[in-house]
Amino acid sequence: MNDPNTDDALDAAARAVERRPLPALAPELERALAELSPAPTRRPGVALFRTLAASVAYVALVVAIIRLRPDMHELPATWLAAAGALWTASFAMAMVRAMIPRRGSMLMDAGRARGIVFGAGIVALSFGLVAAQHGAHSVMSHTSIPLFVDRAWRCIALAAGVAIVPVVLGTIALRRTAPVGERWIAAALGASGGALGGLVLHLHCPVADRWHVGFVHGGAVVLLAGVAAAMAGPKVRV
Amino acid sequence: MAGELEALMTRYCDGDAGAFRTLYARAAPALRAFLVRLTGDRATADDMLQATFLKVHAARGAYVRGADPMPWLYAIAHRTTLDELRRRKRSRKRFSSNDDENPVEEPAALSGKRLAEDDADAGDPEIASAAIAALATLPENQRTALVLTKLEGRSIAEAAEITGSTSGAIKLRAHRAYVALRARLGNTRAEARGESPHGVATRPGGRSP
Repeated sequence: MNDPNTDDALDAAARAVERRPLPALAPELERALAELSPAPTRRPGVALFRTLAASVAYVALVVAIIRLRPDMHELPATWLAAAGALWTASFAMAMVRAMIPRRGSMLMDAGRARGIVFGAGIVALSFGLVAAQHGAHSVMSHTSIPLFVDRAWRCIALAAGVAIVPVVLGTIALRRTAPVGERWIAAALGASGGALGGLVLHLHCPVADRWHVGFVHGGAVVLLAGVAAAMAGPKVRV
Repeated sequence: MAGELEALMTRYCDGDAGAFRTLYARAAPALRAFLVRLTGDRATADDMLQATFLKVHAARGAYVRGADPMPWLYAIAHRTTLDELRRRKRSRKRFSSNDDENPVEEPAALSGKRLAEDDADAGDPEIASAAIAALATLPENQRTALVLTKLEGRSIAEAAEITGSTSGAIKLRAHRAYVALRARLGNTRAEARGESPHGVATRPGGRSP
């Protein structure tokens, strides 16, 4: 594909602009340098550990306060374990992807953040739609639209209440760190919080039809990723 | 150089203003070259360089000790410049829509004209001018991919990191940019030889068929 004439032209363009002296620093920057003080640098691993630990502690408190679903003992143990493992893994992986840059770099990887947002969203939606389980005491909300909307609204509100802690703590840890990809990084934080919220919903909400579990419990991941991208993205940006 | 920049960035974050000045002296030439190629205009590039280092100063707490700061600096420079060019384009459009009968001349910062003219004294001036003018006509994302990978010597992975996209997207954009540049430079050479871009000779002042 390489063309010698094009390569020569690119080489000439590369040489053509490198010979002039640098401009002096802006007066504003000179003033800032005159009173420069040490700035604590970022430690992504420590920030991640703190955010994960605080989020898990908060969720433990929420689960201790709310009532667990009455049909819990009727659901297959493997389904409960799979749901717990998937949602916990989505929470942790999305948080890691949002907060930890690649080794040797200080830029968070927006491509990986985008990947985890799509991955967690697809897993959360499809798990409910394909593998929803119910017992004798489960509630079915798909019998009427008003009932579906009412149940959905309550579940989304609870998921948002759970997600707010990891999203806010993650945003504080990441504020003014990302020159590019800030929306995807914030979306990964939101997906992480949404996954934690979805986990709490599985433990609390007795509504077990596939539409509710898929679009509401799973949809919380997608919805909160979008909200975080819009609201936390600008805070994360340099 | 990366190790030196890491050490300078660390000392700067620890409050050493001299380390910042050395960091500026080491990193700014490459950044400015990148900005000139991106904007096609030296004055705009110098303004963007200052804005970049102001942002770096404000966000120095984001530095991760031991990390190469150069991709981060490139990313800030790239984003700052894109925002500024988009802002200018928007205000130009607003201005044009208020005064459709008097079209506004396209600013050099967006067309690359000024740099091409200024480069008349550079080595290989005609080739350099043609290349820079052709670069300026490429779509922004293709131009950035080509400049980062072919002119700045950054790897595909670094270019993806700097632009917030994927390695696959960078490869594709750089390839498309290269093909488009080759075609445009071919046309320029054909015109310089007095031929039409499609290989048919043209008479001075005449029309090609």
